[in-house]
Amino acid sequence: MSNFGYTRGMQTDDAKTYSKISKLIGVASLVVLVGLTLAVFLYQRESIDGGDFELQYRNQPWRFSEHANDINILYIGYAKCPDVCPMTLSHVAQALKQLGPADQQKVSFFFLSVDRDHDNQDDVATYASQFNPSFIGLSGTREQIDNVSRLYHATYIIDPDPNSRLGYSISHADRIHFLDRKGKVITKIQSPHSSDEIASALKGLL
Amino acid sequence: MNSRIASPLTSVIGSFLAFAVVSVSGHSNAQAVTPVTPRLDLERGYVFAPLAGSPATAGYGVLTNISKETLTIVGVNSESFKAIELHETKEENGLMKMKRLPKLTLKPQQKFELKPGGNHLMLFEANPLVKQGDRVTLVFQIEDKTGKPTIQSPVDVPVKARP
Ligand SMILES: [Cu+2]
Repeated sequence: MSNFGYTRGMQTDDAKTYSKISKLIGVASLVVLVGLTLAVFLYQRESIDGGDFELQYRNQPWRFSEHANDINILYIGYAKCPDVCPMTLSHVAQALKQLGPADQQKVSFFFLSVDRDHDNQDDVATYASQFNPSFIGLSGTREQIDNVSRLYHATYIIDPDPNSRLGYSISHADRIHFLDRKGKVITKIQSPHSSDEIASALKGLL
Repeated sequence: MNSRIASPLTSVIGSFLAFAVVSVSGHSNAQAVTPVTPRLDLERGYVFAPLAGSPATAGYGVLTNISKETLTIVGVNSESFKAIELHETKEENGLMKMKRLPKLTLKPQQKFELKPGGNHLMLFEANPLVKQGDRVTLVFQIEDKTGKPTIQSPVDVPVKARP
């Protein structure tokens, strides 16, 4: 009996410990579950790239959805960039030449200058059109530019460079965004890139 | 083989003659006519023709110290551009960051590659007459032993259209 009682006592203690542990596990898994849900939610929000946006073209309001094509290539840089931006614009222009004329019509290219303080909007438009007459050079208010930068997670930093004649330089991602008609990112190409890589991405999407 | 030997020989004789002419023509002129010995080469060098809408363009090639001494480049200039700077482009946290290199030291035979998306010459405000198919002279300024940029080394490069 005593033995039984002892055993019982043990069982009761065990049960208490067990229930404590299971409560702990319950709370812990709840915390993990909430954490995971939050992570997935944040991840999804992070991975939702793009949407419609407004900018300016030659000082006129310009809305993406009104100019969207089957495939839209968006590149974010600045016109006074001597190296990375013109190389990328050349790569895209060369890639387009690898497509047939009908396919070329289905692709639009938009170059956004984030340098609204130094890049005159007519200059940005003229600059872009020299790589391919269909290229559209855009800019906008700082709010419009920063909205696009947020939509596509395209950070840029304006750094003063007093040693340089320009006086500043703009660090930006060398990333080519391929957008659908709604402005959502279908795919991206990071630097270093080539015209062949861009052409095969386009052929895959068309 | 003969011509390979002959050409440095001719240039040595040429320099000697030039020096002799300068010496003969009088001391007052000697200062102005400093014989220029190329110390740098820009292999496969070129600059991109400027585009409307941007005051800046870029130049590339493999910069090589072809002299027998270590050289420190402290500047570049040209009659065809308002200013030229040596720049590097580096990727930092996913961003392409461009910065001016105030100096570049090259040991004899050392090379420094300038290529799109990396190191480059940034050329500002081209003479409006500069167009593709032209050749432009880029003059590299090199420090002498006292640290003054007195040594000049010119290179001639073609102006190419952006592809
Ligand atoms: Cu630069």
